[in-house]
Amino acid sequence: MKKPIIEHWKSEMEKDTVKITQSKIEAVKKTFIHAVSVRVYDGSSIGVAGTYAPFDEHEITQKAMDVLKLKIDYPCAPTSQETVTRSYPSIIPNKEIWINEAEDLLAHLERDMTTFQFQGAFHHCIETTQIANEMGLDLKSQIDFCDLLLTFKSRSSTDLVDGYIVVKTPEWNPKKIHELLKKICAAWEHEIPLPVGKQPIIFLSTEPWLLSLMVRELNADKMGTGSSLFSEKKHHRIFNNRFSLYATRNPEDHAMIPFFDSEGVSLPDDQIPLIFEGHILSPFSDKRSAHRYGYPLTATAGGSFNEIPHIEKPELRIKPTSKCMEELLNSHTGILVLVSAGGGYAPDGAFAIPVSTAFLFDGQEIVGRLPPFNLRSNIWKIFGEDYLGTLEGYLFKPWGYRPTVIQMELFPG
Amino acid sequence: MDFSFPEGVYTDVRIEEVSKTEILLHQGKLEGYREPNYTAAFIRLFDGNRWYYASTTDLRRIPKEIDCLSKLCAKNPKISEHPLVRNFEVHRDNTLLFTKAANINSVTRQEKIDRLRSYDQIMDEKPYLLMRKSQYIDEYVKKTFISSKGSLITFDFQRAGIHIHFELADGERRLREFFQRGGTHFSQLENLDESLLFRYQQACTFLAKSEPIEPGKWTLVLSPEVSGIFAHESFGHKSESDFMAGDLGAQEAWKIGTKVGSEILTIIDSGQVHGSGYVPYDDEGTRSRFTTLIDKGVLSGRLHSVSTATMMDESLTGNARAVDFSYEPIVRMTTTYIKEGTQSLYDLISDIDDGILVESVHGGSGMSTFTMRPSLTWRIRRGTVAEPVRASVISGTVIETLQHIEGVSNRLEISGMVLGGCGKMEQSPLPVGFGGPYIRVRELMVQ
Repeated sequence: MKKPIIEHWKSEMEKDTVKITQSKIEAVKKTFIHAVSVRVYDGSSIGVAGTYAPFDEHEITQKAMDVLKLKIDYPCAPTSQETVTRSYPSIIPNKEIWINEAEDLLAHLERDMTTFQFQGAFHHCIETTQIANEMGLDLKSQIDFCDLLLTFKSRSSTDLVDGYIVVKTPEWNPKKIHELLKKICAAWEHEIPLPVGKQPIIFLSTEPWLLSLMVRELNADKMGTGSSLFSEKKHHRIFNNRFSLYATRNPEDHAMIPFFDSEGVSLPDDQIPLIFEGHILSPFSDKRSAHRYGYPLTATAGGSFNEIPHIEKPELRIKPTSKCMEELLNSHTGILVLVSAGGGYAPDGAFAIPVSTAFLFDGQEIVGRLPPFNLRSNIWKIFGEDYLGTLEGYLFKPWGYRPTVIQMELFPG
Repeated sequence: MDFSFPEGVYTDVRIEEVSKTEILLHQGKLEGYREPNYTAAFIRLFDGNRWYYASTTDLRRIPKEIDCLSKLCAKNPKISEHPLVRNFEVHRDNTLLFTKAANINSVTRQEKIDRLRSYDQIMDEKPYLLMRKSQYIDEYVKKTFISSKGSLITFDFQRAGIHIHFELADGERRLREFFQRGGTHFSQLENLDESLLFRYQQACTFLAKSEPIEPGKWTLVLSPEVSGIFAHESFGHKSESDFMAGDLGAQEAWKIGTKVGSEILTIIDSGQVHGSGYVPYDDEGTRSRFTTLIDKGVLSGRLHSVSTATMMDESLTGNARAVDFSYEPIVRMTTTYIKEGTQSLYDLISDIDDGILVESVHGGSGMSTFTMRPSLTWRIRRGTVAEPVRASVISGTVIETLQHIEGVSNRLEISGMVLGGCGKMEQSPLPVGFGGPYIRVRELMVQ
């Protein structure tokens, strides 16, 4: 029997967290997790085993060899002959200053927005990932960033949460977070009536539902087995010719992930188009599905450090179409969706979603809060005739990266 | 296990020994297998003003981590008199239920693969079926909790389950559906062939005949599985008091004794119920108990950690849970269910002129508006179950919907998710149980 090829995966996550309750720091947390795994390949099968530090490499290798005996289908070669190290530093002060600044930010929020309470967590994360094997592969990534989640609630509201902001950024800028929350909370206090009929709806790229059908149906296994809505539509133009969608591992796209996937696959420019000018070009794949169905590799294999690599939900971004929000809205007002949940797409592409927090947006500023409503449409219209475009840049930096505007019918909640 | 705890602070240590098995068959081929196995700890210190946390996967480092955190604390000689610290329960207990033959690790790797394969093969070459993924998952967890107040608790829990996901297509029609069954013992995964085939046949009927429902407000009958998710999403999250502690407006709106639902509605949460949500103690050493959240329509309790119970001057409930060793405990559900009523399923359906029966859903969400994504759904016409219908989302406001429950059947079923679990803030997925009888609700938005 041929000697199996051995590959090592290593990940280190260093994270400082401040946990916020009732607009104050409730807790400070330090997390350091060092995880390793060994993969063994024999050309037709794979075995993987891993654990957290402290570890015995010989023992992990033996466990991986043991799993290899199960003959898990993997007719693919490990990635080889590539040595790259990339590091993305942040502009975040040292821990002590960072915690003090977080405390100051919360004090300012409490002082300036006395009618609101804030909860959530600020994280400063440094994530290091490395994959190396006997075939000349050695890839290493280090990403340093802030991950902020802050919910707000009006003291007059009977709801438990009225809205939230999510920001992932390499730049810690408490002043801008303060300004942003001031804008949002001021608009929240000003309730205005719901416009009627079809309206331009502004979805943030952090909103999970708009692209959820793409995540589901552009999966290579679904496309290849014929069970995807798009299985028969490859290379057909089925969406608006201004709509292009790509999978990305580029930090400039706010994808805080390594430049290589869990199989060591990377991409030129760190991105690959899946839909180009309305045409379906390719599903997203891992090595097994690409091999099985003859699709290109898209660097979208994932899985936990101790799992056999498999297709994972990719970071998808819509290609921007405009640098100006007013242009996208065609000088009309738009509706900015802040909290929507629990709906999404039916298997046939029908879309419905309840929106609990949304604001009227005049192209430059958030004007006021709208009552809850429902949105209904379908995938063909959303990225077809009703797609108005995607903004290059932010609504309010560092929040609201690349919002997308779609015309949709809204119905009172 | 003995640690030297620093003076002037409250300290607790949670040690987790975890072993899991995960098996994946894709289109009948073995494509995934892993057996993670690790021991790790979460450490907390409280100085009366702020909490300090650390986690480690090296148990030898626990004393050092305690020492490092202790240096960040402002020592408080009166810490034992702090109301929060006074409120921590102290137990010395060893509750290991899943030892020897009862332990899931006594089942061999091959037995687990064979059991999964036996169900997967049932689906082989079935008409309309284009893709299938069959998964087996088990998990055994042993936790030890030690506190500076004197607690020393060891307990365990485990779960095992299978989940068969399948994708059907007929021309342009598409359907994704799944069959799942979970329990605390491997033996509970036997003899499921008929149930799996029944779910597949239901899905085929749905694929062939379902038509979109007209959007609007409908009277719905929810199956026990769906009513459990409804209880979890509609009221369970609303009962988690960390969203409410320190918010006098919300506390006033959700005052104990307020009528919040119809008189036939009782919702309970308990970590004592065996299944996905079983935890005899929570992650800060509080013994779990039965907490009635709504009693015959009246708000009668909510879910607490020691911190929230202290702030709101209410009793502990044993609901402080962490998703794993790297997270602090926060207020979470355990097993949340609607108590059975007196009516039969026939009673619930027979006088509905035009309504909907929801058999399964693909998850949901819940705060003030709750939502569920329906899957197998049937029209009710003139008191009988009629043709299948399709919808994207069911939604309602908690306050209105609980008042609109107008029927509760007499048979309670408890289940849980085999894959995934409950998500809250950054902690996901946490295994929880849920359940209920069939319930009937009027004026739910379906679209």
